[in-house]
Amino acid sequence: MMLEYVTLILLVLSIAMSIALIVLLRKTARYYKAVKSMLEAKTTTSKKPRKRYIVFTTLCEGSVSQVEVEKSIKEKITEYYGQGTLHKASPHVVLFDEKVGRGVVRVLHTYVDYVVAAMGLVKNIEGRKCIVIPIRTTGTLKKAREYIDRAKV
Amino acid sequence: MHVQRCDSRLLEVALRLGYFTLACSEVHADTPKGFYVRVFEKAIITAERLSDLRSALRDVNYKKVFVTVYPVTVETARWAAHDSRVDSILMTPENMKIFDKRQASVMKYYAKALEVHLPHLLYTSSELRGMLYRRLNMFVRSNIAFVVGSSAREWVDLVPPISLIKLLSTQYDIPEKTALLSLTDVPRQILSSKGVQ
Repeated sequence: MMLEYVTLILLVLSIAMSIALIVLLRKTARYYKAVKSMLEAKTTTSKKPRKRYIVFTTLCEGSVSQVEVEKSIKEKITEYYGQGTLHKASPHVVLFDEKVGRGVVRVLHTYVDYVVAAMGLVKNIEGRKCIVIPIRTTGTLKKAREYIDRAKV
Repeated sequence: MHVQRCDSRLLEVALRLGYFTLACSEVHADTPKGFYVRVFEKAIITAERLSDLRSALRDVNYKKVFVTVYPVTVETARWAAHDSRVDSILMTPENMKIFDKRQASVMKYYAKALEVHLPHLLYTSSELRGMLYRRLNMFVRSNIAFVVGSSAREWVDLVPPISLIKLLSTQYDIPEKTALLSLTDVPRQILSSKGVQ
């Protein structure tokens, strides 16, 4: 009789312990998810800014220099999007072939659209009639060089 | 793409930029025949009174010419929206106050396109640009066909298509797909209705 009571008590205890274990596990899973999401949010915000290279060509009356092209593109970005965007985008003409009028602009990846839009609005460079045509956006300078070589626009 | 004045240099640059069909208000004498870029005549009718609009539409060969109405009053805007001879209705900073919700619903019902010219989007004051932004977005969000014209008089006034799309999406919050359609599909549909292959 005594043995039966003991087994019954043990059974009840084991059931209670398993319920407590389930509750604890669920809580820890919730904590685990919360911590994981916090970490994920942190990783997305701290992503490294990447560079993009925009290959472009110019159609001008006469030849233009690298400095003049960069200046005119920067002026257009300031005119339409402001100084803040210009500083954040930090466009820089890294390559420019004066003979064929093709070049590459390096910008921050989040501001590619702004720079492409501003490039199309260039109408003159240092008083000479000129338009800038964006051809392609690449992730590496090596690929941009390839596009400069084979661009037929 | 609408061009104010077509000449040989402008057509050459348009081809380089990737425009294959242009609607010109004035065609210059030296425009070469058989050029790869196709040129169509475009008539912009300024409608101050209903009677003027009626008489102007009577004189235009609407089966061959791309007809755009520039309404000055609410009456002419509503009338232009339901006239089948009209292809698009031009919105500028001067007449944009008449483009309200009712005008949008009439234009949507009769499938009329809204036309906007690039200089108005770029070179007006910030206050007017704000007003244009609100109206453009209202029309675009109500799925009304939208056409962008350049009003170019010289080759330097032409803007590369990719820059134009990015400009509309960054400055006017127009979805890139809609901006692309405004340069390609919508004008093409209008030209197709005139029997152009």
